[in-house]
Amino acid sequence: MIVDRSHVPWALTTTCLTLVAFILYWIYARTEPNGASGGSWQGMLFGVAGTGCMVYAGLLAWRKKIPKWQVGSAQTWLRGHIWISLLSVPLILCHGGFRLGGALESCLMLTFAAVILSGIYGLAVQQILPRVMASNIPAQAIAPQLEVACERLRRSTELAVQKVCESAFLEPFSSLSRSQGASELAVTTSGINPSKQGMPVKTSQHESFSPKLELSTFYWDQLNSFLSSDANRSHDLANPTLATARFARLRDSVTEDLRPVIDEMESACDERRQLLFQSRIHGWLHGWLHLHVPLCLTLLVLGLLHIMTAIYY
Amino acid sequence: MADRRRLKTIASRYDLDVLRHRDPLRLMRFRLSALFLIGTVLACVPWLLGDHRAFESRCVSNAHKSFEQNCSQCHDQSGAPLRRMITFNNSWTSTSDKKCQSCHRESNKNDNDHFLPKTKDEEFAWGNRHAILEAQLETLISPLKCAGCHEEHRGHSELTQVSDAQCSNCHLQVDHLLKSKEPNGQHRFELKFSDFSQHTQLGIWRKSEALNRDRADSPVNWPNDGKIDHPVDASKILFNHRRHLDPNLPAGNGKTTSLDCVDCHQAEPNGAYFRPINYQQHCYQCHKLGFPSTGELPHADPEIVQGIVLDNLVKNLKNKGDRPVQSDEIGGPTKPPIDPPSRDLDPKLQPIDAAFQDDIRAEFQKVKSQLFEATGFDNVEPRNHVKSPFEKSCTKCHFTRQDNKGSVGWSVIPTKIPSQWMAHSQFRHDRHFSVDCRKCHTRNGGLHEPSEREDYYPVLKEQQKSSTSIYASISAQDVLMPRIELCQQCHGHGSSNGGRGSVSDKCVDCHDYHHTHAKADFRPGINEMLNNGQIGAAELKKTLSIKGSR
Repeated sequence: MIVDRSHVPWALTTTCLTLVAFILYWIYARTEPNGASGGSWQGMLFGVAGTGCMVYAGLLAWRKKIPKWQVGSAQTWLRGHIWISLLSVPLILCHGGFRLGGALESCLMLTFAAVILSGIYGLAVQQILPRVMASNIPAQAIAPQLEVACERLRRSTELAVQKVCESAFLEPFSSLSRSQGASELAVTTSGINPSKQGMPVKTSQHESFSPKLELSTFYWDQLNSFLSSDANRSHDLANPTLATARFARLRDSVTEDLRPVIDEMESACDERRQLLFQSRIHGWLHGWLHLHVPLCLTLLVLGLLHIMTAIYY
Repeated sequence: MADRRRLKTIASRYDLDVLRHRDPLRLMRFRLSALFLIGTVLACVPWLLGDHRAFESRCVSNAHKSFEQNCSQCHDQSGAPLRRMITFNNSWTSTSDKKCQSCHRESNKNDNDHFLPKTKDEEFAWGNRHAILEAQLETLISPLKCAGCHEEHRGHSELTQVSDAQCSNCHLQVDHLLKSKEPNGQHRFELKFSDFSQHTQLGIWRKSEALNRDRADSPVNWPNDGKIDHPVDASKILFNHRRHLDPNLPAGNGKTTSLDCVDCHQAEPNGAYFRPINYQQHCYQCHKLGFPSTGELPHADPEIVQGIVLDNLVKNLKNKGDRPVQSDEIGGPTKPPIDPPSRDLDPKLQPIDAAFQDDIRAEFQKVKSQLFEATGFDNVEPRNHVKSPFEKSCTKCHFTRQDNKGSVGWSVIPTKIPSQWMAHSQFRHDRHFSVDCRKCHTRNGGLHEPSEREDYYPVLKEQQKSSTSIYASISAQDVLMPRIELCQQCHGHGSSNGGRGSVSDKCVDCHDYHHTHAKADFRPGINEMLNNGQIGAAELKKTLSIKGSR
């Protein structure tokens, strides 16, 4: 959720309530002979208020699951989730007397801190990353369909190359096997290991140079693996500078009629890089939830245990 | 690079059936959540089934650590926190007084009540007012619970270290209550302070009408002659500290000795206070009683002394000359002296020579006068001789009065040397042994004046009146107790004493709320708690017998 001017009333209210809570706590701590305690009625009221805030924050998830509960708009719930959760922090601190407490209470406080901090992190990345995506990823896809998009991109590029290369499309597979046999000679003559280059080496045994073969070889050796859904940032073509250089060299080594397809290949490569970037940003945008949500459940269980034992004892 | 794709081209790349498949991220999140939830529940099971110490906010005090893992040993009021919250009243404690008293006999309700008088003179002085105030104070004190002041799970190593606010909050209320009961709004206690730096002056140094009225048996008196503005010791004894601290104190037979404080003031075994001054132990060696004609006399009641005097006179005068001595079968030191029996009373006895009787009577009167009437002691300058007949007199140290009662006609006014000057506090001398006696016990409450000389004796004559040193004390009327300012030099926060010291200044350091008995009865709760009763009751009683807090 983007924090904009509509959040100002919420922020002001939260700030005012925080100040009121601290003032009340200060008065209570000064007047209490034995100092502030979470077990006194004042401390427990702070605890109840803080717990109420946390419960409200947790209800956001249930609101999504039960659409019939259309109590307030999703925006209001989200704003409330943010600011009321933040309000719970001073309330819980006042309840605990700004101490960690015993074993259970320390676990609670640490879990609570992790939940709050992960939430703040999530809110922060939500302010920045979507804008980064919008400006740097014009070709962004629907996140759950990134794999599908990659596969279809690869497929469309393959068809385009096949259409142009015709019979030479599959020739790199057979020429690769021949070039492996000549690799020893190539090492002797040129000192270059063709298997490391990934490209068939133009040796003196090749009687003729085919641009289509060049194109198909480039596609199979480099572009195909990059366009697949399991490509990662370590791929050579993931580097835009290196990719530009490779495509430029390819463009120079083929005839004029093949250059449109090279443009298309380069476009596909660029789109794949954007999808790769989108995948990373998507991980940052949503990965914190893998910590935030489970910890909330932990907080719920520990909180219930704390309430039960505190009331009993 | 410009995006030259067409929307249709882009749209054709997506799978419309994707909604049928679960989002992998959501799936991972669900699995993680389930894992955390189950893991947390499983992790809490050992806490619930086993050691409950994980639930305490802080550890218990040292004395309770032996049963810390058993919460029910103390917690017998379930739901008390809920009651506190609902009623907005923190007096609901999770531990009842009964639970505390199963081991600790101190209570707020029994004979250890805080506001009852501690000494007999206070009982006399308070009289009816005590009964009136008791009902009023009950409303303040009865809601107090043991756990209200001695709050566990605060990380305190000792629960006896009650916060000052517990005392001052109540005292501030009591202050108004007491003042409302007094005709002039004045009462003996000064309770309106909340910090040691504001602590009222010690009682012996406060000339308060209410205080003086109530202290019938006070260790000090405030003279009304207007000549002096400090109290005087009401011990009814004559003593010259300056004389006795003379480094060249005559010790008889031409020898000298040197006395120090500890030669007479010997600490009790617990180190808190000092044993009473005992004539036989502390004075006899130099101050033997008796005259040449009487021989040594005991330090006893006048009747006993008189009897011994008479008996010794008879024996001594008998040996002086050839006068026949008639044995007096009914005389003796334990019986009141009688005139020598006449021949008419007992014809069996040999008649006593009348002249001998006159001699005895004359000598007896002389001795009696020396014992009970001698005056003229010069307490200003030390005497260089010890042969004055007045040296052996009772009046050397005691005040006597002629009351014509009994067979002697004189009585010695009983001394009033208190074993504890300040009855409403507790002091431990052993914890202050690093401080020299002379620095605290100054003359009439003056602060110790450091001198360049390590040994401040002797005090120069011209400094006699102004000196605060104990060496300048020539009269037992000097009050040699410190004022509160001396205590505040060390006890208190740095800011209150100018940064000179920061020794603890808590109320409980000097004052005891529970008037602890000197003997503590056997506490049955401990037997039940420890070793399931395997320790025998008699053995436990012997082990746990408490001799008192002082």
